[in-house]
Amino acid sequence: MKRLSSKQRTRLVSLHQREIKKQKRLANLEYQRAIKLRKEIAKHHAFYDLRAARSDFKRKLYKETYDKPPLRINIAGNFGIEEPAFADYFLDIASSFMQSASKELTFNFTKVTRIWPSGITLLCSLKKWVEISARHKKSPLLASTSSEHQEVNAYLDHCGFYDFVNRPKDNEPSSYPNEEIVRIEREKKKGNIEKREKEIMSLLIKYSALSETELKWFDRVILTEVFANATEHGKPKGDQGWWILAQRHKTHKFISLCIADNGIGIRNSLTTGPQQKQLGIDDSPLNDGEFIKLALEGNVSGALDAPKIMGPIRRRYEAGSRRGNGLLRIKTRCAQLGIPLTILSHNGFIFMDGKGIIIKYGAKENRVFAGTLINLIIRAR
Amino acid sequence: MHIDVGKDFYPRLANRDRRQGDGKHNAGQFRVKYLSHMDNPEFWAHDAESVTFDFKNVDKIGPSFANEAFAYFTKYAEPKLIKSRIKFVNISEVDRIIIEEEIDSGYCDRK
Repeated sequence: MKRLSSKQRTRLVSLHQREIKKQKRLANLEYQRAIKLRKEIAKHHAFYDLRAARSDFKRKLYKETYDKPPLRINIAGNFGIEEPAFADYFLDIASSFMQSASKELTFNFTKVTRIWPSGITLLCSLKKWVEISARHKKSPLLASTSSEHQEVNAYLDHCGFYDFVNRPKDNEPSSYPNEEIVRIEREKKKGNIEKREKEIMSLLIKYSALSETELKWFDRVILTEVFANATEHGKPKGDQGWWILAQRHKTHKFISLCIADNGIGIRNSLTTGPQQKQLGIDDSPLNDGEFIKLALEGNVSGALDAPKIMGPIRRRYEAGSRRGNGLLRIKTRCAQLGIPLTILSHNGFIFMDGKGIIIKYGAKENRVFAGTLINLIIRAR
Repeated sequence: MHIDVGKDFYPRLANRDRRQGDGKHNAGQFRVKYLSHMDNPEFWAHDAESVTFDFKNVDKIGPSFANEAFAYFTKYAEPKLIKSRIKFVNISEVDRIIIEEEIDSGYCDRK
């Protein structure tokens, strides 16, 4: 082996030291990058945890097996929440089938004398629920008999129910006027919202007893916020996951407006959000009524991020507060316009009168609605 | 700066973000398009030119939109200052109240 000269040795050492420095610098850079990455991960950790929790939750929620014996549901008389006298009956019936795991569900409408928009919206929600929750090719069979009362069958066709659930029609002659209804439909396009809002407003301008200014308030606050909620929470599958039905009731002098979605419900929306620990209510379906009440008081929402702590000139709000005031806005304006408001969300329900006073709220052992329904009763001329 | 909102942006101001409604023409996009220069504490610390929004071609504005588009700036400034820098003309009384109520009540961060 050839011996290196001292000059060569010095050069070699210098090269070696330079290499070591370079390695150290790279290692340091790598280390800084790792630290930065770790900080980023820590920063978003809670966010992704919440997202994962919500995804897990949805997976569990929507996997239903329909393998129990057939079930026949008998409905009689008036079916709907529009008239307070029939609300308890409606809730009892709804909770008897909404979570049924039967492979065949038959609705016996023979003795039904009147079916209100809320009743139709409920039955459509079952159809939607089955579509999104059943395992592949394991959907239960849904069927219904006709009513003894011809006008009930005619109305089910007229309001769009048969088309929505894809049931053969009875072809009863109908005398219901087309201009008094905004029919229930499969909302296939996101862009339908504006069209549907206009249809509802046309109905209200024509028949409601609200003044021009009151109609503006209704349109801008109530309708816009209800639509925003439904479209935000609806789970698209086959359609956009929300549906509406509005009907003028000439004899009763009101317009019933139902806007519904097939989402995870108010409680699940709140408890999978960042403020779950601050709510102070047990996460149980039996507390669904409490959660709806809480949402109506405002300052809570199912949004995934918590607001930041602000500087001295900025407003200070705790995480989970000052958020999601949509339902509070709806409640406040309804009370100002004298509109009774009802919300059904999974097991829970709340009924408010035209002054915004709670008539009753609570929860049933079983679900009373697949997602969330908002029903408004607007006085008509 | 004078902006004809209905023509230059959209007549229906309803969606807070892309998750609401059809997600189009939402308040986040509106803020970025017209008010991004205000998304900065420096802007609010010094004198600056105001922006005027003309609502003559606007059909309606919803509270959620107003919150995300305008009340957002309550994180930098007091409502009074915001109202002096963001002005509205040819606006209905209802729409004006909606915007002012949102600015007065503060921003609902729902990112």
